[in-house]
Amino acid sequence: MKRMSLILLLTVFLFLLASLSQAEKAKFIVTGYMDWTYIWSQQEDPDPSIGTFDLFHFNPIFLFQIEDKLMAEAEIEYEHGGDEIILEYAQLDYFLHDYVTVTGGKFLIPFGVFNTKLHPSWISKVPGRPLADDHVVPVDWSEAGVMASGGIPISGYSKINYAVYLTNGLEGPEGEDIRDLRKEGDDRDVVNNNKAVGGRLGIIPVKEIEIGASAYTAKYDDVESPKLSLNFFGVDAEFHHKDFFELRGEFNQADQEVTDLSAPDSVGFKVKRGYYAQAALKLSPLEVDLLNSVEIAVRFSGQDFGGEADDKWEVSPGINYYVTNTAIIRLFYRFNLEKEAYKVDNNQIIFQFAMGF
Amino acid sequence: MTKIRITPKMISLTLTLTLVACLVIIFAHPTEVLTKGKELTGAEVYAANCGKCHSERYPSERTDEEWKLLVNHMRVRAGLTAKEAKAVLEYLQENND
Repeated sequence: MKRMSLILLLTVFLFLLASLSQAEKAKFIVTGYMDWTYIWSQQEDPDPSIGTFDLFHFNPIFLFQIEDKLMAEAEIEYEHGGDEIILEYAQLDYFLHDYVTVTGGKFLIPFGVFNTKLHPSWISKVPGRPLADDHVVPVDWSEAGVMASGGIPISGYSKINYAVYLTNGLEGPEGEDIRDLRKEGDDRDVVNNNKAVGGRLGIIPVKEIEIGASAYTAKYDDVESPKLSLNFFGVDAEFHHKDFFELRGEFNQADQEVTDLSAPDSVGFKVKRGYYAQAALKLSPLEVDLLNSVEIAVRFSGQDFGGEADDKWEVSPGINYYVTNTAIIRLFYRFNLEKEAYKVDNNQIIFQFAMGF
Repeated sequence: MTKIRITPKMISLTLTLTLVACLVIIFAHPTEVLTKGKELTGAEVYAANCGKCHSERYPSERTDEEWKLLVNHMRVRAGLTAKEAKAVLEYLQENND
């Protein structure tokens, strides 16, 4: 409670400071995004279906230009009306070279593209996280460490973008859900002193296409001499056609080492796979006034934990209506699907108003 | 409420139809061909990089100084080169009247 009060007080102070700065020469601005949602969720008989409003996200982003080559940025996430408040990231960026930015602090891990670029609700074309980026890659995923990143031109539109980093790593009990291995409070290494290493390499061969590959390796068990590996591998790809069509997807795999209970002196890996494919089509090429601001989107995603009850899929078709360039009304139906033995009635209707500011 | 059964066959059919529709649209609206060696304009860099993730931010939304902070923030987020960031910033600052 005390921590929440301090964070709220800090936020108000920073807003006031930003207002004063913006009245003069802007070295400090506040930007960000928010969304409110109405979700209707099916329940298994005899439980009634549940519908609820939710101020899902209020995420102010603070940007401070210290000097031309040095910048500070931070984002605070208020979820579910303030029930969950975390510092999503707070980092210092130094533009060392045309092709190299050095970042230090707590930053979003550049694994795939959803975590760093697509998760804000006004940017993501489909509400909610794909299953590849929920219990496989634990979006929102940020860690304390250092990173070098940037873009290297090849020719015309072609280029490479990259990121390599060294961080404190995920940490928790053996076999824990990967989402629960994130250090959402204290970001320091206290018990497990092992560091994580990772990176992403993206290639843009032509304007319309980007392909990337990501990797991350660490030891995660919360003991003084950690032994259990946690390795991530991922590939991502996207295709854009002009300004009205996109097709994108990611495949992520987490290999989480656990003690083999059938042979206690040996270990094995829990292999967790996740994937999604998403298409979005704006109807502006039809040149019908009513449809100029309408976009149809559909996402298919799945997670495969090796035949367990956690194997599931979702298909989310829906419509985005762009009230303005950064304010979107969404209406989606989410089919939540499980293996036959674990099938439950849990589909959802999602209405969302999301805005970037 | 009527229960709709989603089967792998239905998903495959939907994805195939979606892909076919996409290909029809792409061939009906061919993209431009970049002349080799042509320098990209700020608007082209902006569309190629920023437009991949989010809708266009109108230049008139922010002042020159505010765009400087935002473009630097985006340079880190999107892995822009210094030249790309400069081109985008100049485009936004020149058009924000």
